[in-house]
Amino acid sequence: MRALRLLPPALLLCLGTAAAEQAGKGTLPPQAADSLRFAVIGDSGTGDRAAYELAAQLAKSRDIFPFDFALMLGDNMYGRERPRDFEKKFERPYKPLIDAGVKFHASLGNHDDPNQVSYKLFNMDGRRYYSFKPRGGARFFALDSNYMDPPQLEWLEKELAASGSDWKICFFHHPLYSSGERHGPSLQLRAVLEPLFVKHGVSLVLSGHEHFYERIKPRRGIHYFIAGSSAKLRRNGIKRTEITARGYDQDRVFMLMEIAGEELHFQAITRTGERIDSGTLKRIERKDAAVP
Amino acid sequence: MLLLLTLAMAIPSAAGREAEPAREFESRVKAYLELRKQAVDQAPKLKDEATPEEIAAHKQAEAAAIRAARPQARQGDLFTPAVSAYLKRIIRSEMSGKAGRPARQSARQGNPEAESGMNVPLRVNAPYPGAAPLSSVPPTLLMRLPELPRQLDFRFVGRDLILHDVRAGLIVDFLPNAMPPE
Repeated sequence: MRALRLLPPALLLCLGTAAAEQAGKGTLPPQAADSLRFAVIGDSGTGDRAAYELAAQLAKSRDIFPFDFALMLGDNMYGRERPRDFEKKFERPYKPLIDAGVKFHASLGNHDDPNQVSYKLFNMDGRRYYSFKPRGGARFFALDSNYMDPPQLEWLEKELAASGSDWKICFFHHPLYSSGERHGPSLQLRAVLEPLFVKHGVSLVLSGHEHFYERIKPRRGIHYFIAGSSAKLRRNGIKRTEITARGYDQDRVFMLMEIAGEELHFQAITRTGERIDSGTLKRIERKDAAVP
Repeated sequence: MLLLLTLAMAIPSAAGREAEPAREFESRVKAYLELRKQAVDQAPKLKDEATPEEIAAHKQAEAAAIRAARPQARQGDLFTPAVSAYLKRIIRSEMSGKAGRPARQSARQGNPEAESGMNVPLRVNAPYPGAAPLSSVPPTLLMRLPELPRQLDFRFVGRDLILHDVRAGLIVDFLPNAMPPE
């Protein structure tokens, strides 16, 4: 660790990338005792068999990798949103986690009724964009990427500027970078959000919308992940491009993340329990931001 | 010289031309909000930590109250001809041609017709279908469109622009062919 800190920034970036790429069997246990741990699901609200299997696998993983909360990257509920749909598409599949006290923090996707902001189990407190600080040196910012209007951008700039957290983590539905054949990157959003992320030291950005898993090579000092296949799946939906560090589009996936000091350990797990990606990323200091 | 001056004074500037419909739209939105407030004041408030049953009941109650408060509402009440022309000018200048491609791509995300092939019938006071996705609205366009209060937003259905009551899920007004064709 100490040796790593002495390396020049550009080399740290390379190591950050090279330290990933580990696929294998099963969920890995946490790397540190007092780390911040959370799960990530995206495009999870179908209520079909695959969604239930993924939720069961996530609950199983928690026995090995205990996490306190889960981020939802939007499309939390497909189709109608009657009370019985909340039950079928969220409350029943995730019951073991809800009963165990895992808190879900949702962001809105294009399939979500804006009234979800008032749903108690999504912990949005009536707001379509909000931030929260669980503990330790991380603050999370949930954005509504469907409707990025000037008041939201002003709010984000203010919140990011005021945050002294080491890890500033943004999550929202539409990806700024993507190798997806169907949707691709949201260039409009990138034009307004990326300058704020760079200016205010955002380290990690998580999105869904594309129904696959993709880890993007760091862009301007920021780590980007797409995890939009927690129920929906677009098989063979990735047209691998030079920005892809790792892509997977053959089964449903959730993510587990752990923040320990300057390091972020991540793993991407399928509904059958296969680990299709894992590794350790360094928080990239702002002086590295010029590195593409 | 005098003639030129008189002509210049008679022809309003571009900014002046846009100020009038912008004011008109603002005052119509304000009137809608006042009517809305009176209508939904009777309904119980929704908690920020509500159950699905409370959310569904509240949405239905708000929609019914607003519909009852404006039974004669029709297309063009808020999007008057002058407002429509003004909004179309903004949308077309932002979304036309090669430069407008990223904005058009953004508005296709979640657009029920473009993305899911879903037909959303546009009628004032009708509910936006619960199973239909909501389109993104390009951020650069939102910087130029009039800012709306949190109770309302703009959305696209195909090439049409709708004014959408966020919590009641109602179509408040709509503007056909607002977006330029591909």
